[in-house]
Amino acid sequence: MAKVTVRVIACVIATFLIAPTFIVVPLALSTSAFLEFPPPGWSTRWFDQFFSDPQWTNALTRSLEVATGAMVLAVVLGFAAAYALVRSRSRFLGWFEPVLLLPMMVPIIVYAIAAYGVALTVGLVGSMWLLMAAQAVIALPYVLLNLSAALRTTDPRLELVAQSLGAPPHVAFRKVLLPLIMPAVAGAGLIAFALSLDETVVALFLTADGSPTLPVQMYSSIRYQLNPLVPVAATIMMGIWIVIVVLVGLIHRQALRRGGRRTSIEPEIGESLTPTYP
Amino acid sequence: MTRVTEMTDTAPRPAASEGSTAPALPQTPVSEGALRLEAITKRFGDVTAVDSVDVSLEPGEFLTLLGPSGSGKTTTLLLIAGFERPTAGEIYLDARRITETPAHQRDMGMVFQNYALFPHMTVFDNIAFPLRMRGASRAELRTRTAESLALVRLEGYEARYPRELSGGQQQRIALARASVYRPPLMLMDEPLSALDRKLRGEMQVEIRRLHRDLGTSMISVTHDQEEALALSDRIVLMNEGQIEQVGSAREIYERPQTLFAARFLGESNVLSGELMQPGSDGTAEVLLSTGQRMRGRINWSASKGDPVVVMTRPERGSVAAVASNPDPASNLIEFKLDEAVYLGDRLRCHGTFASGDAGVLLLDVREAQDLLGTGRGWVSWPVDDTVVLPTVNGREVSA
Repeated sequence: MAKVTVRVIACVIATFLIAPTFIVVPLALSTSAFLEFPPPGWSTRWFDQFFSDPQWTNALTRSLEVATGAMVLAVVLGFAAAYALVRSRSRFLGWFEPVLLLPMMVPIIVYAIAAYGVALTVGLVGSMWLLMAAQAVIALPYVLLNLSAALRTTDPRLELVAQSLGAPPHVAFRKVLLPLIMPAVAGAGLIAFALSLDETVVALFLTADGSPTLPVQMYSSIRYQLNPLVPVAATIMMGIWIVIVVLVGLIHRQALRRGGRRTSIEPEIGESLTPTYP
Repeated sequence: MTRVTEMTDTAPRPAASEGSTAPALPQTPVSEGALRLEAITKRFGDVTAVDSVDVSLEPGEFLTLLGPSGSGKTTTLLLIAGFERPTAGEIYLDARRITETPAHQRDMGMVFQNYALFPHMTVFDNIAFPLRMRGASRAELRTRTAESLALVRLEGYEARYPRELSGGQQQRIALARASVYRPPLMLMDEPLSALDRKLRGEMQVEIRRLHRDLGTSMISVTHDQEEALALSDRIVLMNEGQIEQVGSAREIYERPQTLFAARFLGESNVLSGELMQPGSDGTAEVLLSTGQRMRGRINWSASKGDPVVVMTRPERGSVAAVASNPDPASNLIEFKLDEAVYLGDRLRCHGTFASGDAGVLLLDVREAQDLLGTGRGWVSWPVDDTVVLPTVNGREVSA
């Protein structure tokens, strides 16, 4: 009985947290030209209009490109940093870790203004490359935390033993370490991608008027001509976001099933500690 | 006499050792597996982990680095494996200087405490890993992996993953992987400490057998004296980064050279006193603090009046019938029994010697009857089983 009550409460809370987000879906599929809820009728006309309007499709493509670039940059830098932090004995590096996590703490508007200042100075306002770099910085702490956690649970002796068995360090890295932490790398990449895709504040400062990313385009639309294309864009973003969440979940589950990073001394005991999915 | 022979410092280094990245795959051990450490020192910041250590390993020998944690034994192993670079000193494998050779070009098989099997690879891929690194052909991979699995008696386990194996099986796979390419030298870091007591005994036999079958030199690191006794031809006893004593288990047990060695290996009774007479026959007489005299073997230079200790082993003592027996070949001292523990075949007697030092005796149950009855008695040790040691050597640690 108590179990049922807990479940009901959990469902209510989940609904409270998530349901408002889903309201964009009926708004996007509405026949109405205004944001009416409940919608007077159903149609895909706004989707059709979205995909035939180059301003919107360009914004979507631009967002995906920037997010991809930011993801690659954040993962490469984050991996290098995490590897150095976890495997080095240097005391200086230990002191350095919080510095790398700072972008998470700095108020985003402050960072955006600073990035804008940099962009003005180097004359790169509106450059997609600068936006990629700036958003990679925002994603870096999350990537770093994810990857350093994965590296800490990966036995450094695995690389050592590979070397003693004749593998040069880069081969030991590629054949042993990389396959083991690939799930974490992929997960961190997807998180970086999602963070960048959704990032609005820095993008508002760094994009030029003619070439907004999708969130920036949505923001200006809401300000000047509120139309159902905004919920359509929101629905598309939510779709991408759901795909990412599912992928992260699958990767995590796969990692658990393979027993991945765990090199337990007593597998009989260790096995029972691993959550199993039916 | 004018010609000074150059020592192996300038021994020719094989051209292949530093240049190529992939080591070749030998059919039989190419090297004999003789290892020599010369005055190896390793410092981490202010800490000297290994302090001017000299070790030499004969081909085919099983050597154990034994010592408490922090004694530098593991660091020494990592230096041999090439995972750390020594601060000073040289390392030679046969005639080849390998001090700066990277780990992957040293051709040493390494077995770690937790086995460090690659969790994402099958048993086959784990064992084949070193062969693949040496560019072995597909057929060679199959035959040699199968041979290696047969050697550790795990035929047919090729397709399993490490997590599907028990601790003992994982250990054997680790041994198979480290030996499949016939390295001249195998290194083992606490190889048995992760196993339970029963399995440990079985694996000791297994490792001994593997050592005999392969003829490979082996170096093992352990803090467990029982493991060291069971496996090694020779033991290097380490303490605080330095070598206390090198010798067979029996030598170290029966003829310890330091108090640390006496206490670390086995149980000991230690009575303190002052040196009376450094004899010429390799024995010396010691005046205990309470006036008794004991005679024991001494193999270090000491002079009259030096503070020394007399060390005896609990099982070498026996109950003496008469107090006034003046047998010059044995020492006699009164013992007051505090507590006796019945062990079945033996009786472990805790008590105090007349000198005031606490002590332990392992006695035959029948032999100990009088001692049990009266609570005190005389015990004797042959002079030959009594060792006179320096009190302090600067690094005395109670075991």
